[in-house]
Amino acid sequence: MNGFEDERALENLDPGRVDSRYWIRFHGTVMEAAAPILAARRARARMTLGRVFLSWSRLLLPATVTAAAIATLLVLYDPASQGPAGPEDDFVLGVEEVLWVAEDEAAEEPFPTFLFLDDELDRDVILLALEDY
Amino acid sequence: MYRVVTESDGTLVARARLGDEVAFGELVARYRRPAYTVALSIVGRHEDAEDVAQESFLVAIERLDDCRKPDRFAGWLLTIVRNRARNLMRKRAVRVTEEIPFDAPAGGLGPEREAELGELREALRRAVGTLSTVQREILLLHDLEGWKHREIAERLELPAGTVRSHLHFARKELRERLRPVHQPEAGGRAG
Repeated sequence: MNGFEDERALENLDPGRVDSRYWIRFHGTVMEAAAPILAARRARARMTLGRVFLSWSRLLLPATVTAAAIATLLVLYDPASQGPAGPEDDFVLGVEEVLWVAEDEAAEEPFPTFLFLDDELDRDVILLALEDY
Repeated sequence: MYRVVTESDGTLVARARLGDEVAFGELVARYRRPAYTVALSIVGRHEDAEDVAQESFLVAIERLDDCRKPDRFAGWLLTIVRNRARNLMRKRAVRVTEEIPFDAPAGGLGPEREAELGELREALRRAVGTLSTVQREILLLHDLEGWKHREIAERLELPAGTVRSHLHFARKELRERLRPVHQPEAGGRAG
C-alpha cells in the first residue's frame, strides 16, 4: 500500500471485508469440489506403487526360482560333494599332467628316439653325420 | 497444520499430485485471494470472479501434472485464472478492453454501513473499470493482496519495469477518478 492515498478504497473489493467467513466458505467450496479429484489421485498413486511392486515381483520371482533350481542341481551333482576320492582316482591323470610326463621322459633322452630304433647304428657315427650336415 | 505452512509451493504441489488434501488445501489458502483478485480484474463482477477462481483451482488440481515448475505454482495458477476469465468474457461477447461493470461483493454489513460505502463503491467500480486489464490485475495484486513488484513480475511473467509502470499509471488514473469522491471528506488532501 505504498503511497496510494486511496488504497483503502480497494479493500471494498475484498469479499472478506464485508463477510468475515467468506474466505473460509470459499476454501470449503473448493475443497469439497476437489475431494473426488484428490481421491482419484490417491487411488492412482496407490495403484502406481502396487504396479511397481508387482513388476518387481514378476521379475524377481522367476529369477529366484531359477537360481534356486540351478543351485540345487549344482549341489546334487558337484563331484566335490560326493565325499573323499577313491584309491583308483589317484592314478587318473589330466591332459596337462600327461603332457608334462611326456616332456620329462623326452628330456631324459639326449637324442630323438627314432634315431635309436635300429640298435645296430653307432651313436658316434650319427653324431658325426649331424655335425657335417 | 503448522508444518505445512512452512513448506514451499513445490513441495505442496508434489504432495497434492499424490492426492494429499492438506497440501492442496494449503495451496488454496495461499492463493485463493490472488486468484479471486485476478479474476475480478478481468470479469469485473464479484459472482463471476468467485466462480472463475473456484473453477480454476479445480482445473489446477486436475492438471497438476502439467505444472512443469511446481515452485512457480502461483504463476501457473494465475494463468489458468486469466484464461478462464477471458473465456467467460468471450462467451458473454464482452470485449475485455472495453469498460466493464466493475462490481464489488454484496455486503453483509447491514443497511447503514452499506449505504455509507455505496458512494465510494460506485466511484471505485467506475474508476477500476476504466483501467486496462493488466493495470487492474497489477494494481489489485499490489495494493489489495500486498504482493511485491518482484512477486508480481515473476508470477505474471512480466518485466519488473513494466509492472512498476502499469502500477504507476493505474494509481494515477484511480487517484484522479476517485479524487472528487474523497476531496470533501479528506479536507483538501492533495491527490
